[in-house]
Order: sequence, then C-alpha cells, then structure tokens
Amino acid sequence: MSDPALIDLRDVSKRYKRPDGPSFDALKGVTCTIPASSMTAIVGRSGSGKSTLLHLIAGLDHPSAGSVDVSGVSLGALSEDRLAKWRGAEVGVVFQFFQLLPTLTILENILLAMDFVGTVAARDRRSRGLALLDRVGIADQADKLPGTLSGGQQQRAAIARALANDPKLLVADEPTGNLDTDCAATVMGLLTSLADDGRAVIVVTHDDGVAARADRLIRLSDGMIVEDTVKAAAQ
Amino acid sequence: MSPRVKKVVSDLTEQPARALLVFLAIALGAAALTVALGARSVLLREIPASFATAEPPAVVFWLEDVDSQVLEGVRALSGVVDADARRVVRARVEVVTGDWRTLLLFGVRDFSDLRVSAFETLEGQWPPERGAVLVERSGLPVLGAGTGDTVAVRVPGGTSASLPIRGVVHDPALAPGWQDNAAYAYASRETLADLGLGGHLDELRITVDGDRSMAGRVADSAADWLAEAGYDVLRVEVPPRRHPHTDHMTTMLLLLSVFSALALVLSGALAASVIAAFLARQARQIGVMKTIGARSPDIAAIYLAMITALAAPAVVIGLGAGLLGARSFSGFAAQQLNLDVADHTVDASTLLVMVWIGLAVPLVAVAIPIARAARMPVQKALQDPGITAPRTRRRGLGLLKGLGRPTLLAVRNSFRRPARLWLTLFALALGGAALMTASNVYVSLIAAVDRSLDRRGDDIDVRLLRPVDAAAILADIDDLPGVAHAEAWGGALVALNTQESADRSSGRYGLLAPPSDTALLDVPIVEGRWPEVAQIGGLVINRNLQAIEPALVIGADVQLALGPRSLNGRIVGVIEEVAEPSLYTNPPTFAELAGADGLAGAIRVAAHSGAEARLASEIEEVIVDAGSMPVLLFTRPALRQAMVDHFAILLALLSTAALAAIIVGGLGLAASMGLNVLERTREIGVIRAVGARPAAVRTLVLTEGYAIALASVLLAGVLSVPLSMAVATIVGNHGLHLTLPLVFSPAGVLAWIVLVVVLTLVACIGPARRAMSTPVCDAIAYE
Repeated sequence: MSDPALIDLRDVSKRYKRPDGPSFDALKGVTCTIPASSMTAIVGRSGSGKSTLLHLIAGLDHPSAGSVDVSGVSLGALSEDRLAKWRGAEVGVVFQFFQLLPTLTILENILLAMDFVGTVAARDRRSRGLALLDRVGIADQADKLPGTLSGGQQQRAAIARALANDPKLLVADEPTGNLDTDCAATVMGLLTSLADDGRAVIVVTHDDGVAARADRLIRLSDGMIVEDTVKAAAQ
Repeated sequence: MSPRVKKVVSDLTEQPARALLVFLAIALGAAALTVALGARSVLLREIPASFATAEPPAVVFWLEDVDSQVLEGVRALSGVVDADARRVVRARVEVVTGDWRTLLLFGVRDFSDLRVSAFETLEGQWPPERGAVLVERSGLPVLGAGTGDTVAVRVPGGTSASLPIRGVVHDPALAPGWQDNAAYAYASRETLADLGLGGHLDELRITVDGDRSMAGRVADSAADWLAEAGYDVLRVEVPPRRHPHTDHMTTMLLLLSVFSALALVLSGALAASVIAAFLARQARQIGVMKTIGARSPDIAAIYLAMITALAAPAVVIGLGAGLLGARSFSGFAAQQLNLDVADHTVDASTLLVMVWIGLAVPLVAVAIPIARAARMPVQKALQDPGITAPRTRRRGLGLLKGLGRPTLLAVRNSFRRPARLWLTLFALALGGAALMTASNVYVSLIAAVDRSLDRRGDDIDVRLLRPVDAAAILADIDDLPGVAHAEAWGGALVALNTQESADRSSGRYGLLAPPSDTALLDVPIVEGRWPEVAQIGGLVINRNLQAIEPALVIGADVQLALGPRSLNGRIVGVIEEVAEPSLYTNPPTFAELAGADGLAGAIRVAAHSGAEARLASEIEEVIVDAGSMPVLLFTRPALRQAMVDHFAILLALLSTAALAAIIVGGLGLAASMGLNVLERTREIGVIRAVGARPAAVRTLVLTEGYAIALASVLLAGVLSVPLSMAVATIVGNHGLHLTLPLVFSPAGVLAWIVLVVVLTLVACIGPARRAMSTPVCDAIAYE
C-alpha cells in the first residue's frame, strides 16, 4: 500500500431521520484513507453502515458531518449536477440487483453512461462498449435486453457499464449477493483484475469468500470501524 | 438510434395504455381550445363580413316620399357611398296553422338595382312580378309555406290579399324570423299600391364611407340638404353598424373560451398526473442514470422529449378535431344569427396561438413532476420504494368503521395518493359542475321568462298599428267568451331623442301607458320610481332599452315624438323584464303626446285556461273591425316559446363545454384508477394470495372508483353554485339585461349521477381486468 491515498475520509458521520421516531446514526466519526490500485472489502452485519459508507465514497449521498475527498476533490463542495458529472467520470458503481435499464440493450446501457459524461469521443463509444463487454465475457450478448440474460451476465454487464468512462474508483455493493457460486467467482475475478489495473475497488459484502480476495478488510459495527486489516501480500 | 432516443421510444411503447391516456388528454385539451379559438376567429370575422354583404344603412331618414330627386341629391353629398329608398310595412300573414303572425313587408324600389339593404336570391323568380312577393328564408318555418305557395296577408287599412310566393331570399341584416315568430316578405312598390298602401317609399337609406361618427356628420349634411330642397324630415336614425345579436355572440364566445381554457388546464393537469405516476416508477432508473453520470438537465431532457413526442402529434390531432368542431359550432351560431359563414378558415396567427398554447400547457404542467424527479437525490432515487403505505391513519376515515373491511380498504385506497385523488375529483367534479351549470342556467332563464310573464299576468299581448277608442274596444273584447280580464293601454311606437343625439338621430321604441290601477303589470322598479299618477313627462325604461341607449339614466331628459307631436320627458325609473326595449309612462303623459285622451295602442288580456289561441284570433278580428290591426300579437305560450328559442344557442354552448369537461373528467378517472391498480399490483397479488376471489378484487376496484365518483357528485354540486351564479350573471347582464333568479335544477344533478355511474363503470373495467389478469406470483414480485 505504497500508493498515495485516492480516498480520504475524515470524521465522517451520517445521521438519518426516521419518520416515526428518533434519528439514527448510520456512521459515527469514520476516518480512513484508501489508496488506488487496491481492493478493499467493507464488511459488517446488516445495519452496520457498510452501504452508507460506500454511498458516501461514491458521491451518492452526503455526510451529515466530516469530509469525503476523492482524488483531491472534496465531494461536499460539489453541487448535485457537478457531483453527477464527477461521478460519471470518476466512479463506477455496481449494484447487487444490477440496475440495468430494462428497456435498453446491454450495449446501449453502456453507451448511455458514455453519452451522459461525454469524455469518450462519440465515434469511439460503440467500439469501447463492445470492448468492455468483451472484457467481461459477454460481447455476444451486446444487443440483448437485460431481462433475457442470467444474473451473472447482467452483473458482468453492470461492471462493463461501471467501466464505461474508465473511472479510477469502482464501488460494488454486494456484487455477488444475487449470484450463484460460479458466477460470483467470475465477477470477483473481474473486480480483482480491475484493481490490478490500477483502480481502487471497494466492495461491500457479507460474503467471507469475497472479503478474503480483498487486499484490505474494513469491518464496521454500529457505524464505526472496529477492524482495519491490510493483508501482508498487499503491503 | 442513440440510447437516449431509444429510451424515450421504449418508455413510450412499454406502457401503451398510459401513453394513450396522456395523448388523449393533450389532444382533448387542444381540441377544446381549438373549438373556442377557432369558432371565435371565424365568427368574429364572418359575422361582420356576412352582415356587411347586406350593405346595411348607416343613416335612415323618414320622409313622406323618397323620390329619384332625393336619391340623386343625397348620393352626391360628401361622405355618402350610396342611397336607396325602402318602405317597411307592418302587416299580418296567415300561417299554415290558420293563425295570424307578424309580417314585415318590405317595399323595394328596384329589385335589379339594390344599392342599400341588399339581399340575395336563393331560389325562385327574381324579381317577383307585380302582386307577388319573395320571402326571407328564416321566416319559412313560421309561414309553413314556400316558393309556389300563396299566403293571405292583411295590411294596415284593413285590405286583405292573397300573395303568391315567387322565391326565397337571404337578408343577413335581419334577425332570424323563427326566433321572433315573424316572417319577412319583399314586394315592388306597385304591389304595395295594389294593396292600398300607396306606391310611395318613405325610408331614405344611406351608406357612408366611415364609422358611426362619420354617419352622424353625413346625417347632419343630408338633413341640411333635404331641408334646403324642401323635404320634411319626419325622423332620422343612425343605427349601430353591427348585427343586432353581436353582443350575445360575444358573450357566448367568452363563455366558450373560459370553459375551453378550463378543459385545457385540466387536461394538462391530467397529463401531469399520469407522468408523475410514470416517473415514480422510473425513480430507480433515474437513480441509476444519475449514478452513471446523468445530470438533472439530462434526466429532464429525456422525459421532456418523451412528452414532446406524445404532445406534438396529440396537438395536431386535437387541432384537426377542434377545427371540425369549430366549423360545426360556427355554422350553428351563424344559423342562429341568420348569417352565412362564407369561409371557415381559421387565420394563421390563431392557428399558431393554438399550437403554441396546446403544446405549452401540457409541457408546463408535466415540467413540474419532471423537474421534481430530475432533482431527486440519487440516493433517494435508488432507494425509492414506489407507492408507500400511509404512515398515519386519516381521522376522517375512522368514521367509516361501520363499512365492511373490503369496502373500507377500497375507500382508504382512494386516499393513498391525495394529490392524484384531488386532481381526479376536481376534473370529474368540474365536468359535473359544467353539466349542472348548463342545466341550472337554462332553467334559470326559463324561470326568468316565467317570472316576467307572471308579473305581467296577461295571456295575450297585442300592439296596435293605429290607436283605437279604448272604451269601445275594451267593451267588445270583454264580450268575448274566455276573457277573464282585459285592459286597454295607451301605446305607440315613438321616436326617442336624447340630449346625446347630436347627430339628430332617434331610435323608435314602444311606449306603453298602463292604467294606474292595472292588474296586468307588477314589475318591481330596480332604480328610481314609477311616475306619479298625474305627473306629465315621467318615464320608466327597461334595462334592454338602457343597454341600447346608455345615456338613458335616472334624471336624463328626453324628447318623445309621435307623428308631428312631441313631448319632453325625464327618466324617473328603471325596471328589469324579459321584453323588447320599451318605455312606460302614465295615461296623462301618453294622452299629452298623442293629443287625445282615451286612446288604446296596446291591449292585454287575461284569459281562462285553454282559451288563449282562440281568443287571440277573435281579438285580432275585433281590432281589424275597429279600424286598426295588430303590429304584434303574442299569446303567452307563443311568447314563452319565442324566448326559449332565443336560448337555444346558449344551451348548445353550455352543453358543448360540459361535454368537453365531462370527457376530461372521465379520462382523469380512468387514468387515476389505472395508475392506482398498477401501483398496487403487489398488494392486489397479496390479497389474491390470501384468498380474495376475482369478484372481490373487481368489487374492490369498483368500490374505489365509486367512492371517488360519489365524492365528485358532492363536489360538483358545491362547484356548480358559484359557477352557475357567474354564468347566470354574465348571461343576465349581457344577454337579457336582467338579474336572473338562480334556480337549481334537480334534473342536472340526476343527469350527472347517471352519467358518473356509467363513466365510473367504464373507467374501472380496464383496471379491474388488469388486476385480475396478472398471475398472482408475478403480482407479488411486481416492483
């Protein structure tokens, strides 16, 4: 872990207001840094704050207190629109339930991400989309609708979409939670290779097998980091 | 196709029913707008144009005889476009039923050289030979006769003759004869001479180059010329240069525009409601798009493009349908005015306005939910659960505990989306309120007529061409069987000059002088007072006269002229009544003006029930025997029917507006029920999984629909009160010039209840079927 910190969280807290009761602290003063070219697993029980932490890192949500800096950009200082543009260019997000747009083909889902951000030249988008699908092993499914694909294929498509704009950071929320063992292994292999390419990959998971493939393990409990282990091989 | 365009297309085609609803709502709004603006554009252009084809006079002089020397002299005056001679004889004609009706017999100088007050031939022989007539088309229903028939005519002086009808003409300057229960005929001066009326033409009709003030100046110079040439001017008039029913039509078009604007706004709101529901289902997709870099404007652009793709063809279709509606409505309106619409083209600027408003209103309406969806924080969008269960119990619904559980569930379901519920309710209730308003205003108009007729108390109203001895004719009429009470009133058509009449012109209006102890007039005074019994010169006018002569206010000095005699009077009171523009005074004032006491110019008779028609004929004979003849003779039922006929256009207009509002309301209900069922697919799946039978699910949907429908009836009733009052006030003030007694029509409420029951059934059939057709396992897995 000699790489400089890509992500810098300082004293980050997140409080949710419940409609029918007292407010709830999902994160309490979390401070940590995450370097590029690494794969980090965030684990913990349900309600421990894993997904909240992931959403804050990906700029999908704002902290109630503290700061989140990614690549030197303070996310709290960005407007919603600038945040969206930054997210499209700098972050790839992979969801547990894939969240592909059902009315677009697999390839079109990837092209849409490039259209929104505009960093890839229009003439190059299709070839890049196909290359990404080829990389995740489903190039032959490019013109199919998501509903016709298996869960594993959809998740690989979601990863391809997450890579559409060549982000430095890839976050995945339970990426294998909805997949069988073989598919899960394929997806994790992909994520690992992406970290090897120089990206920071952060995976939220319940699965010990998934966590075991990460370079670093952050365990949360009641919104606080209770364990932060860096594997020897990664040091 | 780019992914964004593909998404727009696929979102549209994914839910065709919803897209169709939005399409229909926008098309309907555009159609309603087009009917109103299109009809307005056509009528406001064509009414004056059609009226102008008649070459209506700007100035009319009454002389002893208008000879060729007068015509040549006046035509040479500055500002005069042309001049012609005409004579109007108030006669009687026997119609197909054997009754006698008013006939305006026009004496024409030269049929082949109509220079002023022109009319065109529609069929038959032109010109009619000596002893024959042409008749105006709008009087044909009154006559019950046509080209080739012969009609019996009775003219002043007592001469009766049979006149063959040689053809039918159209005179755009005349109000429809069928509305006034009168007929119009055109004859040569030789024919008039044969009828014992003399061959002279006493009206000098002049057209001028300019507006009404120019007409006033021409009237002055022509009067000077006539005086210098040695001609006695009996009277001069500068009539308004517009169709007599222009004000009515303008009011009608205003009402149509207001109702259409409401329909347009409602249709926009309906589209917004459907789109809001659609966007609620798209929340996660919006979250995903934002996650991969879409900004709020990107999201908004996608959904606005989708709406535009729907709205553009919808506006085109709505515009086409609306233009057909506008054509139909303007044709009907023109018929009501005895005019022809030569050109139904809506001008380009109006078309552009229609397209612009038709597109802008729905786009602005849907921009609100789109902006809300586009601005939704990505985290919230990703976690959006769709429709949520209510967090609190609604207090009002606790009152419904006595209902069965399924019914309670259905009623509570109606309140799950309060904004949608209110929109649906309002749209539906507005349709009901429009229907009730149409019914209320129509019934109120009839009530105004009946109240006015009741206050008069007579069953037969006769105006005489020449005054007769009051005591003698009253004695004769009292002897007729069936007469309950008869009164002979002073009455004549008098020329009225006000201080404002700087152009020397005067209008001619009926002056009535009821006896001081009359039992056949009980009209309350709304301003001022009735003249004292012996006060000379005190005058009361009705609002209809005041509308024509706004200078006639309390305290205004006027000059009345009857033949060579004149009298200075003062307006002391104003009344409201359903009648032609009239003045009232006391018998001494009338005697002063007429130069004799004890003369009758009007007769009013209260008859025993069922004797009206027979008595009317017998009274006509009595009057003829007395040396006069009726100018107007109306039985109460005929007068009432004539009034009711005048309201036909208003009823048609209000019904059209109500229909548009009802369709929008029905669409709103269908959309709302469709969305409610769609959003609760999973809940319905659960209900079915726990044992609800198909009939129970169907009942659930229908009960929810009928809960909304019931609420709409109540809300429509409430809304109809101010709406009816507003429309009644507009119609009363601008159409009839009286305060309408607002009457609520149970028939309107009943009609809405029946209609809403049917509408609800139709609106719920589709959603109920859908609720049943989705397999339970799919329904439970539905997101």
